[in-house]
Amino acid sequence: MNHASPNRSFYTAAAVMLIACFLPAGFTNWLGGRLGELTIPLSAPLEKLSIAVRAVPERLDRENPEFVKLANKNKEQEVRIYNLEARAASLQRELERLQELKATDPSSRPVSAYRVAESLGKSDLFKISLGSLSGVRVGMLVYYQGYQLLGRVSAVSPRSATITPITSRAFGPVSAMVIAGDGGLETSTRCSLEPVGDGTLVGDVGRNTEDEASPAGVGQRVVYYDPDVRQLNSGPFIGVIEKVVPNDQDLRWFTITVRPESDLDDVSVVDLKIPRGSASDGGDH
Amino acid sequence: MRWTVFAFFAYVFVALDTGLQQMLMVQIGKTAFAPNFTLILMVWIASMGPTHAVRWAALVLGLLVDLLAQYPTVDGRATIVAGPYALGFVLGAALTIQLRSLVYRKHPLITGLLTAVAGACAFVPAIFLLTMRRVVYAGLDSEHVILWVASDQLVHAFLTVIYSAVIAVPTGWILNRTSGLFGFQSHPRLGLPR
Repeated sequence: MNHASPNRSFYTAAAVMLIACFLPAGFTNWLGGRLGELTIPLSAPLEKLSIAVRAVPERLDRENPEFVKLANKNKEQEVRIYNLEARAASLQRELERLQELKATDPSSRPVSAYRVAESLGKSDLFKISLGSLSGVRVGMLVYYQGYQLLGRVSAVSPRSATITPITSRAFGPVSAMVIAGDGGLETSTRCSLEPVGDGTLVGDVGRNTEDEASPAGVGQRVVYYDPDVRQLNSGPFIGVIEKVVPNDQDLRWFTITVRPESDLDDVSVVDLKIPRGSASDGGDH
Repeated sequence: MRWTVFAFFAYVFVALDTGLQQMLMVQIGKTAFAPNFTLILMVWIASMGPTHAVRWAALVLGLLVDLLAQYPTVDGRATIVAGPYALGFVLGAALTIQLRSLVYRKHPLITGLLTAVAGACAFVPAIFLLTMRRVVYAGLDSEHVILWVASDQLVHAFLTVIYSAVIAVPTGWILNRTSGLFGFQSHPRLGLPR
């Protein structure tokens, strides 16, 4: 019996296998595919049994404590990102507002001050965190969000200032202009408003004859009119007409009630326009 | 050995490898592993059959394992490499042939023990050959370089062998009941009961 022949054929096959380890996989890919297809009749039912017996990987992953931990961390990151984006949007709006303030009056610089939570008795006056060291002077106008006229500086100390709101009786009469619907200066109406003390200002507007259209209507905007500046109808915004009541005795006149858009209780930051070069060397803070 | 019975059992065990992988898979950290039923069959045949038939059976079973294993490549495809496990199984079978005379191979626990030893002997050369293939193809700057980290594969192989050894205990018990179908020739040196 020749034992060399079977051994030789086996060694030959082994050598072929060794060479095949380093050959490109064209034929073996095909052969592997056919073998996989051959096993399907038996392996497919077993796979179905496996899936039925054991949960699918997605469900297993959701129950996996590691996955839950990662999912919670992912949610925290999402919330952080959301908050950061909201903060970025808020800062962007603040930047645009300050730029707008700066652009409207190049001779002054816009600054912001925090409302100080300090009780001033029964009055509706309030204090802000900037004072004379920052260039704040008595008589300066104070705004909310850069456009809404909030009040006037009535007293100043080195590091704080007292503000009289425009809705306070202590503010006194307010020179204003009712902006016409078309926004034109010729159709806008000047008036004088008096703070009532309930958060509104009341004034009278008139027309030349009873046949003319009413010079004011509910919803119209009212802006501050500075007779010394005589600016166009783009002065600081006071509020919106809330009510129009015709005068019974003279139908050419109407009594308007103006309410500022901002609620004083909601205001925490105010804006001022400090004339350039007025701040001391200590700087504002 | 009856080759038709061998072919049938090879087919069944290869299908078990494919079909039960999902059910039996275990994950430890980043490594997921499942038992290799074809390895168990190879070890059992190597512990029972004549030497000449065992070598060919190991070569065929190893080739079947090669043809069902796909390796991802750097170009985003998958490739099949014939040869590493064929040769590895041959070496594992050779070790089993040497060890079978020292143990009572009819005991199921011995099947598990032989599976652990022979599996290590089979997987290490296969990993070596695949690593060499990767080195050669990377040197040639080919697109068919397999995505392969030898250390990770060794860990995977170790866990697979251990798992297979555990599964080999009940599987070996079942195979021992079917040993008559294979027609293994009794031989004084093998010590098989008549």
